[in-house]
Amino acid sequence: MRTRLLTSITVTALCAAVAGLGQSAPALAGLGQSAPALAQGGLPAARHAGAAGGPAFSHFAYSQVQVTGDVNPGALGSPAAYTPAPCWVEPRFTGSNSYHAGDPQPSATGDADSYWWWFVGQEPALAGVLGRIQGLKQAVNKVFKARQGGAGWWWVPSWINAGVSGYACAWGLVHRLNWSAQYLEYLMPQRGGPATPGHPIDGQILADLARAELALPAIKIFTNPAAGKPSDVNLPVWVWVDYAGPRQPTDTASVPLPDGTTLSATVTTSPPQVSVAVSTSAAHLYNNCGATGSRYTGNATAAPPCGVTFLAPSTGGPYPITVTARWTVRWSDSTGESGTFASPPWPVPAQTGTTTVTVREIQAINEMAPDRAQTMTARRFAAGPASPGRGGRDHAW
Amino acid sequence: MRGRRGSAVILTAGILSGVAACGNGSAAAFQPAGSLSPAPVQAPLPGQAARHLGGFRFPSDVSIDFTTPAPADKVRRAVIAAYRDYVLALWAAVLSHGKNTAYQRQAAGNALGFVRREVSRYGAPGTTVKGTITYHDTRIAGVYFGAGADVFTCVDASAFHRVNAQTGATVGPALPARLTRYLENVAVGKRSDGTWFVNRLATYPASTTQGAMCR
Repeated sequence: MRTRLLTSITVTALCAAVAGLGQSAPALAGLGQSAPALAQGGLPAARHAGAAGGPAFSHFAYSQVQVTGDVNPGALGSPAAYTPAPCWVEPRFTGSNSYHAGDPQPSATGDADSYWWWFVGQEPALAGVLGRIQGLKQAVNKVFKARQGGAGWWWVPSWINAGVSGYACAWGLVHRLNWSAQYLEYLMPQRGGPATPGHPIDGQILADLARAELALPAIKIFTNPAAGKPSDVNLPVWVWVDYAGPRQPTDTASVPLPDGTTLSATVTTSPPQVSVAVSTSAAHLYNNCGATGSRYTGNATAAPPCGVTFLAPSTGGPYPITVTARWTVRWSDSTGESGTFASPPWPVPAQTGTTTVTVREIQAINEMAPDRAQTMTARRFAAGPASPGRGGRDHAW
Repeated sequence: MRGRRGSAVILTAGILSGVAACGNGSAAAFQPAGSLSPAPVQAPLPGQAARHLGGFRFPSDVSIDFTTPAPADKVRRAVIAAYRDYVLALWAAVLSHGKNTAYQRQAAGNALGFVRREVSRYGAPGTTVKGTITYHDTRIAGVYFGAGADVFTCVDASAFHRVNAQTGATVGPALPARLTRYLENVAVGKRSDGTWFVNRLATYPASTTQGAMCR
């Protein structure tokens, strides 16, 4: 009853305050900054605990999720990054962290009361209005004081703190859930089950976050003949790759629960599978590449396990050779659940590179019988320097 | 568990809906002039009153074009309409040197900050904007729980200029130079009363990797 009364008082006050908002525009920033440029409204001091506008978490807003391992921290910063669950609900505070004297605390990380105020601060205009309402702080504090020391957990929305999708998701989630404390819900400790609040953090969401930040190593392509050196019609080009990082990357997303346990999901990758592709049909491909392709062995007469033989000269410009390393990515979580990531919607777990080769017509060879041509080729290579592993075979005529 | 609802922060729900309701007595559904049609919409039709902007009239030498067809889905259509309303309110505020305050209903969070920044840059009556600004390749990246959405659009302000209000002479770009072409990403939220508004905004200049799609 008291709450409803306070609400009507508040709405009246709000209308008056909103009308005056235009007269007190806060200092604005953003347009001159590096992307993404977020225009900043004037958040109350209590909401400035974190550098990104949230309390101390760089990738996730008000979340305890950590992603460790072979990660690309910037992956979630791209507006084009695929993230199926940009927000979720996390059990964040125990009943003993409902309220502390002096709330809301400037850090906004310590208890449920501070979280409420921090979330309000995500709407600077609203926060500014609320700050002018007599008695509101005490009324909110009272709600959380009433839970102090209880056995339950406070569940809070959390989101990916890059771009705006995470916040859009959290707004929708809060609006849909219609929680008793608007931005928070107080429930008995639980790990899933029918009473778990909407869209709770689980192994699948953690796995998605880990997958989104997984860093697949870039590949460096080597060929023989080496890049920049010509090859010849009917002579194989050997192809192999090096990886700029772990060949089988893995990472783990985890979140501590208020009872001291941890929920986690680990993403693992298969050994990569390399393949070679060209855009001309006048070529023979060797695609038994395995994880690294085939370094040149010095045996020019042998067909490489991984490479290509062009059957016509590159009269229209060098032939591009596309080399792709593909992985299979799986996840498993600390509860025993596991799965894979479908592509689409997930991007294909692959790294691709391209090199080019100029292929010359060697009249003498082409006019010979194939067996003679190979013999001749072998002789010519034997006469030149060979540098297996460095792409250094030099067969300039 | 849910029986505990109502204990307290119906308070907040009331606050939020209260904010939404402020001024509702005079504000009908806020729609851009023109329609959500596949054809380019010259939103503020020259000389025509934009009734939902409080009667504000856009000058005939200003065009705000939305070239992406509106989605058929009702919710998505509402999201795009809210975004367009935000854009129109932004420029109405700029052209009126802050006198038109329809944006206060269409924007919150740092999106409101963006509008205020632009309004402050055009606070003096001596400068205004002229030309055409185009919002194209607009898409909704996601609608979350029916009440939050994420919209991308490319903005081309290369033909939109800051001009001397007296002489009409161009004195520079309408927006800061790095935003001549940029990717705009906004979060659109649904209020308790069912209306939508823009509540967060990020910009990625076309020169950046993230904004490259708008080059």
